[in-house]
Amino acid sequence: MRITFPNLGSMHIFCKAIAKAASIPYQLPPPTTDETRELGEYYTNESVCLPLKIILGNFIQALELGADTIVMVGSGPPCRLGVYDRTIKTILDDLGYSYRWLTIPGLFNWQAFLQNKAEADQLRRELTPRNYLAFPGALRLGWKKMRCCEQLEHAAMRKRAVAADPRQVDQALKHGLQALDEAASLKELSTGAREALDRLKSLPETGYSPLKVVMVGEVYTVMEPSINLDIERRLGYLGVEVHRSSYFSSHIRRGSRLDRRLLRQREQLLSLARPYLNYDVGAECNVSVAESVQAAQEGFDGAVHVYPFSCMPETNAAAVLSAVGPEIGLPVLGLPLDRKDMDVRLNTQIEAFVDIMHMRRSGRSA
Amino acid sequence: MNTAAAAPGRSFRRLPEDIMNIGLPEELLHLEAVRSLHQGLGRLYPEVRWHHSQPRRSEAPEVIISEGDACFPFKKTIRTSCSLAGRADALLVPRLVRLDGYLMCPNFRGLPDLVALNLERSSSEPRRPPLISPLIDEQGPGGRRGSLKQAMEALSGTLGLEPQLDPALALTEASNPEDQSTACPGKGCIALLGHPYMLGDKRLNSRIPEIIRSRGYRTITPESVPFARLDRLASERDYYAKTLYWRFARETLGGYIYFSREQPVSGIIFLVSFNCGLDALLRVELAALHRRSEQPVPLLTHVSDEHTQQEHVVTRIEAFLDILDGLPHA
Repeated sequence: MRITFPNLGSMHIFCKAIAKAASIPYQLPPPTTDETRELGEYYTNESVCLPLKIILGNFIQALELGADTIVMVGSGPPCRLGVYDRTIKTILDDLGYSYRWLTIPGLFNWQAFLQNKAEADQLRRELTPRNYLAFPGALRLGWKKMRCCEQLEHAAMRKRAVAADPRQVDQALKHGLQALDEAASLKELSTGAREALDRLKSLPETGYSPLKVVMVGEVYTVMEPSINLDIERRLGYLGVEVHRSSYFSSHIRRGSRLDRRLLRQREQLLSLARPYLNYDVGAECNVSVAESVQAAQEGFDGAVHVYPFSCMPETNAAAVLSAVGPEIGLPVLGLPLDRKDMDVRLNTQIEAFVDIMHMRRSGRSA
Repeated sequence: MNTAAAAPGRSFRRLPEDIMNIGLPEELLHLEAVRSLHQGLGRLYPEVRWHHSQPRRSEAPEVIISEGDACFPFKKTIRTSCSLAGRADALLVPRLVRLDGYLMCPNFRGLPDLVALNLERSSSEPRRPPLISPLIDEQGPGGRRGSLKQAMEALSGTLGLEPQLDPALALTEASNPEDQSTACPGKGCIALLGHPYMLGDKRLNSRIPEIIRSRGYRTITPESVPFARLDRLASERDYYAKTLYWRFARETLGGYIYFSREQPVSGIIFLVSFNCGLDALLRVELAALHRRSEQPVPLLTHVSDEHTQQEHVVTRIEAFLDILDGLPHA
C-alpha cells in the first residue's frame, strides 16, 4: 500500500505527517505545474472545472510514481466536488490504472461511512497492529501541523503587505513550512512554529497602513496557490493584507458538527447574504456574498472573489457581487480562473484594483 | 376578480378588460414540473392570460447584472424573465430545488434571486411587477402534490386571486405526464439526450431536431420513457452511496443506457450548452460507457453554442447522419 493525496495548499504537510507517524507508506504528487494541468485538460473537456483537472493531473502523476491508494477530500451536493471521485475514477479506470480510493467526507455522516466501506475493509486487512496503535498520535500530530501551517500562512499574509522587502516574507514562510514539515514530534513542531513566527515578526516594516481585502470564493481555488495563481502573494507585494476564512481546520471543524458555536457563527454570517439570496444556492456561494457584505461592514477596502471558470454556485455569487459591490461601497474583483496563460493580465487587473482601493481610501472617486 | 397585492410605489399595467397577465419564462416550461404547475394554475385561474416568450429583438430586455460565465440557457432564462416583467402584472419564476427526489443544478436555486436583482435595478421603474417564486422541492414520490399545492397557494396569496376549481382536482389532473410513442418507423430513430430546455428550445438546440427529421429520421427523447425506469438504469452506475445526485443528469445517463441497450436506436446525440457544469461531467461518463460498449450506438456530443452559424450546425449533423446512413444497422 502506498497512499497519495492531491496538492492542496499545505495539505501535503499534515497528510504526510499522519502517514509517516502511522508508518503508512505514501507518495506525494510532484508540485503542480503546467504539465499537471495539461494532463487534466487532455482527459476531460473544456467545461470541467479547473480543480478537477488539476486533481486528476496530480493523481495521474502520483500513480505513475508508484502510488496505489488515493485519498481524496469529499463534499456533498449540489456542487460538482461531490462527484469528483466518481468522474476521476471513471477516467483513471479508462486509462487502465490499478488503484484504490478513499474519500475524506465533507460531512461525517452515514453516507460518508458507506462511501468508503468496501475499500476501507480491504485496506484494513493490510494494516498492522502497529499502524493502528500509532494512528491516534499520528492524527494529533497531523492536526497540530495543520493548525501551525495555517497560523504561519495567516501571519505571512499580514506581514507581506507591510514588509520592507516582501521577498523576505516568502523566504521566511518557505523555511517555516519546511521546519513544520520536518518536525517529527509535537515538541519539535511547537519549537519550529514559534521560531518561524518570530522570524516573520522580526522582518523590517515600511510603516505604511496596508489596504485590507477579503478573499472569498470556491474552497479549492481560495486555498491552492497553483489554482489561484498565487493571488495572495501578488496582492501582498502591492501592499495589500489578505484575509480569508477558508482553511482546512475550519472546514473540518464545521464538517464534524461538534463545535456548535462555529455553526451558530456560520448561520449569523449567512444571514448577511439574505437580502440578495433567499435560498442556499450551494457550496460556498452564499458565504462568498455574506463575507463580502461583512467585509464592507468591517471597513475592508475590497474583496477578491476567486472561482473556477464554469463553477455553478460561484457564478451566481459573482453575479450577485457585481450588483451588491457598488451598493455596499466595496470594490469587488471577480476572477474566474481556468488557464495559466492569464499571468500578465492578472497583474494588470490587480494593479488597477489596488489603484481603485487607494483612490477610495484617499477620498478621491474611483 | 381581485387585483394583485401591489407593493407601495409600484404601478401595474392593466388591460381595459381587466385581465390578469402573468409572465412565466418559456425556458422553464420545458420542465415537466413547471408545465404541470402552469396547467394546474391555468385550471384554477382561467381568467389569467399567460406570457412566455421574449418580445422582438428591438425590445430586447435590459439586463443589468452580468451573468458572467453562466451557461447560455441560464442567461436566456434571466433575459426572458426580465422582458416579460414589462408586460405582466406578476412574474412567476419557480425556485426549482429538487425533482423526483433528485437535485436541480445550483443555478435553478439562484434564478429567482438573479431575476429579482435585475428587476430591482432596472431603469424601467416603476413598472416592476411582483416576483412569485414558489419553492419546488420534491423530496419523495408524494412530493409533486405538496410542492404544487404550495406553489399555487403562494401564487393565490400574492395576487389575491380566487381559485375557480377545487385545487385538489387541478393538482390531480396536472400531475399526469404527457405520453410519447417510442416507435421508430422509416429510417429509424435518433435519440436526443440533454436537459429538457436543450431538447425543446429551438434557440438553444440550434433546431437540430428539425434538421434530423428533415433527413427522414424520427427523434426520440428520454421524456418518452418513465423516469423511474431511467433512474433504475442510471443507478447501475452508482456505487456505495456515490449517487449521481442531479435529476437531469440521471435522466440523461439512464436515457443513454436505455437507448443503447434496452431500445437501441440508430444514433444518439447529446445536446449540451457550453459551460454546463453537469453535462461537462456527464460527457466524461458517457464517453467512457461508449468506449466500453461492445456494440456502441454512434454517439455525437454537440455543444450548441460553440457554433457561430447555422450552416456549421447543419454540416455537423449531416456528417453524423451520413455515417449512420452508411452503417448496416442504420
